[in-house]
Amino acid sequence: MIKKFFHQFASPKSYFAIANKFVKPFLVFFFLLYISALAWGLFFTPPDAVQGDSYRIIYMHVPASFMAQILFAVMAITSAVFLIWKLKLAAYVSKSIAPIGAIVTFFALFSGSIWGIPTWGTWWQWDARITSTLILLIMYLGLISLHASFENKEKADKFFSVLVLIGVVNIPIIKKSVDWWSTLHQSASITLTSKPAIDPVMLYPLMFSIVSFIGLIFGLVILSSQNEILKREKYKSWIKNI
Amino acid sequence: MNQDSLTNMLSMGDHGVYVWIVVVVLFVILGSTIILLNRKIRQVKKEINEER
Amino acid sequence: MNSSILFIEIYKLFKRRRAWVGPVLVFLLIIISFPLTLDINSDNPPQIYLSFIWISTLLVTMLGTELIFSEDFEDGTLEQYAVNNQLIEIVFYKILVHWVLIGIPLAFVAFLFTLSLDISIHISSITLLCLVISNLIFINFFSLGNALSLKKGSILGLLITIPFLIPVLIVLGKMTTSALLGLSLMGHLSLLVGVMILVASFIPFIISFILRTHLE
Repeated sequence: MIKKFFHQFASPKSYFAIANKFVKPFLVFFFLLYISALAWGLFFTPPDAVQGDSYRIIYMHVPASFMAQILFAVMAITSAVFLIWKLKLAAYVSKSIAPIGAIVTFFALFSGSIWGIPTWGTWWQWDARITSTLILLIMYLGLISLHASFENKEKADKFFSVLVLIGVVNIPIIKKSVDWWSTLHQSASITLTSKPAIDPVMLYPLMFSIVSFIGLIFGLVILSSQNEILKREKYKSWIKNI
Repeated sequence: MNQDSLTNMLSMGDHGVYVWIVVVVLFVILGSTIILLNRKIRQVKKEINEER
Repeated sequence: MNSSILFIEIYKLFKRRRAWVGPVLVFLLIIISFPLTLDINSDNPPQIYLSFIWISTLLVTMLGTELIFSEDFEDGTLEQYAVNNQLIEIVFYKILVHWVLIGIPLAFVAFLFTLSLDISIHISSITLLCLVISNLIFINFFSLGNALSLKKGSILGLLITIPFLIPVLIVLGKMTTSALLGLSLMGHLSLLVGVMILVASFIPFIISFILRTHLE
């Protein structure tokens, strides 16, 4: 029953049709939303008492480092769906998330190190969160090169998904062990459970920027998955009608 | 709003340079990703149409 | 359990002397070149040497397991095992044989090296024990990487497996610090043994799944 549902409605064909219709307005909407969030954060909030104006990088750094981890989790879900139900669309989406994740992770590292120059006085510090983000970046790059190394893309999908699942089991372990190795970094300032330690004047634009950045990146993922579908289903008959 | 406070707002004190670098890099990355993907999609579509 | 397969595996690796003597010799050469690039007479903290041992063991283990599946894959032996439903056994035996013939000798070479340093025998023997345990973890993960990147070169295998080994390296590093401070190591050691048991019992199943996909 579930299987039938998946195969009818989650086929690359119907997904492509829906995505083709909505991806452009979706991207434009979230792009404008993110720009307004950024403008709010950059120009209409007071400077931080300790860090001055350089703290404003938070409106780009925090959404990016948040997304870097969320994208891996999403990739794990789609990979599991692919391995369990043999759903091709899930494999395509999974594969197309990897480059976007690598870009976002790179940006998170980059913005963090630029932020480090005025606040810590150094662009790199061997502390827990930076190191685990760097490992995450290497894992994304490894996944991309694993998929690229196979001529037979069906096998590549399977290996990719297996590696993503092993990775997602290991990421919490890596994070915990790296935390154990070094505990220099300030602990996360926004958590779901406890009261945030950041002033509401800065918190609201930060929340706004995180939400709009999530939308923007998912728009990119949809665009990239369209590219993947077109490339992989080039010789299927349905594709001739677009 | 006079011009002085506008430049003040845009330069963001001493550390404005760092913020602007990050902003520029973010939009270059996002923009180039979108443009690249769009170009690739268009290319594949063209190939498919030629084969028809 | 099928002991004849185990004996065949032992014989096969033993016959290819280059495959198991080579890594040990390479390790020896690396170890010889280490004191040459660092002035060994100056009072360097022993952590430097131990950290160097962890890293070079990691890389040499990778070298040693590079061809763990590729030969059997090419001559069709692996396919035969797959048909007889013995893939999981063969993976398990291969890892075991590589551990005994490559992992443990490496640990002993490292042990000899630490004896030559200004380190107490207590810490040297802990190093030996840690290396014996962690080499099995390394070999398991590298076999996984090699199964994934079969015939694609070992760089890819390294790239995708080293991130998973970072927690093990961190435990080893923490262990050396506490050993040099004279603290109890039972906690670290039991953690390492636990990880070893977990890894050695789960990874072979994943590897056999990957190999079966390769053979499809």
